[in-house]
This record gives sequence, C-alpha cells and structure tokens, in this order.
Amino acid sequence: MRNRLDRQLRTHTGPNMTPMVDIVMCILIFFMIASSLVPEFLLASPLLAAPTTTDVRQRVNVPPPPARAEIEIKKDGQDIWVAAFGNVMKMDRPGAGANEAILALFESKKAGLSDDVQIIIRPQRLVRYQDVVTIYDFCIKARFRQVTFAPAR
Amino acid sequence: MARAALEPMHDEHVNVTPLIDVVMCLIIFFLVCGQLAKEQVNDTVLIPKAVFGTMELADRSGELVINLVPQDRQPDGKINPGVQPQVWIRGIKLENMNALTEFLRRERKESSNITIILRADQELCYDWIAPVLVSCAQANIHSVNFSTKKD
Repeated sequence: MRNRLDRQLRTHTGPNMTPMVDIVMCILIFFMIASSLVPEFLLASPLLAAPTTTDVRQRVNVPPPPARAEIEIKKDGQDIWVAAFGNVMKMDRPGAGANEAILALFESKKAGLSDDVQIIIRPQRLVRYQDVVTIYDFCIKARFRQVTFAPAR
Repeated sequence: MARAALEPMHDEHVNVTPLIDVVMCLIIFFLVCGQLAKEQVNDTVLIPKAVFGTMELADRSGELVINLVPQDRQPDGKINPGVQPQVWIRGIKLENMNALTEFLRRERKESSNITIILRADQELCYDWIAPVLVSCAQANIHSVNFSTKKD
C-alpha cells in the first residue's frame, strides 16, 4: 500500500519535453504544408521547334513530317487572333469558359485527321507565352499527337 | 541486508525520445529538400495557367529546370517585351542563349537522359521562348515540359 502511494506521489524530475514536442510538431506541419502548396503541372512537349527554313532544320536535325497543319497566333494591338484550319478567331481574356469555340474547332478537326499529321503552333514574336500555352493546352485536350512549335518570326 | 530493487524510471510516462528523433529527421529532410528546390525554382516567375496539364513525370531523374525571369516587371504585372529575360539554371545565371546552348550540350554529354522543365513567365513574349526550344533541339534534348499552374 505504501509503495503504491510512493509511486503515485513521485514527481518527474527530468526535463519537460512537452513544449519542445509541440513546437517541433508545428514546424514539421508548417514544412509539410509549405512544400505541398501551389503545385506546378506540366505540359509535356513531344517534339521541339518545327523549323520551316532549311538552315534551321539542318541545325536542329529535324526531319520533315509527312503532313502538317499550322495554327498561327497573331497579335494585333491588344487582341490575339488564332488562325487555324481555315478559321480565324479572336482569343478571349482568360477566365472560366474562355476560348471554348477554339477548343471546339480543334476537337472537331481532330476527328477528321490522322495521328500522322503534325500540328505546328506558329506564334508571332510578341505573342504572350500565356497565350501560346493556352493554345498548346487546347491541342493536348483535342488529342493531337504531334504538336510542335515554330521559331519566332 | 536486503536491498530494494531499483524501479524502472519513467514507468508511468510515454517515452518520447524516438518520436523526437524521427521528427527531427523529418525536419532536416524538409529543410534540405526545400533548399534544393529553391535553387531549382525561381519564385519571381509567374508561370502560365493551363487546364489540361498533367503532373505526371514518370522519371524525375535527369530533370533540369530552366527559369526565364523577366527583368523589369511593372507594378501592374506587365513587363517590357523588348528586354531579354534572365536565364537561371540550378541557381546559376547564364549570360545569354548561346551560353544556354553550351550548358545544355555539356549536360547532354554527361547524361543522355535529360528532361527539361521550362519555367517561363506568362508575360514573356514568344520571342524569348523560341530560342530556348531551339537551344534544347540543338543540344539534342527532345523532352521538354512547360511548367504551368491549374487554371
């Protein structure tokens, strides 16, 4: 009975680890959350630069494709125009549902094209990278298999 | 003379020492990884948005991140399209696109398995993007990925 009472009354004489464990846990959770914030996604490009001029093609050693279709991206003032498959369409500002007509055109044209056709995205020099990525994104969504980029002109 | 046996210490406390060991290891791991990632990724680049980008990259070995950092961003986020962006790789600033081609060629000699991840600012004009693609092609690197954010 006395032994049991002694054990109950005995105080812990070592350092109190509780605050340290609390802080360490907070730091751990902070790093875990910070490392997972704002994930970046990747748009894989299967092939680079589809040069049209002979000298550039020789430099990068790219063979000519069997068939090609071009998507031109032009800048006119503040407006961006996309010329593809005989259509010219103006790009909307980014936002929900923007540029759905362009995506619909790509998807409808893909249905009639084989996978051998190489799609060349040909932006003008001053076209924003965001607009180029948007068009390339649509090409992926439309399931074009061979999408390349032409050098700036 | 009878001696009382020593009672085990901390018989009524949870032993937190292994927990602290493990947590400390995790913190060091995240600190080191964060530092390495910081060298690869430049925070000042506003990467473009995309809807259908994938996060899958089957093999991350040989991954090489190219950052194109605009030099004079205005308060409204716009940048001067005529100013050449800085090229950063692994925390190293390259002088120009010719230096990038040489850098990529050296990397290609050392390893045949290189995957480029291009982190370019969304406001940059294509005039500065195309030379990077051509440099990759000239270095015989055919795996290039555009880093994007989910729209």
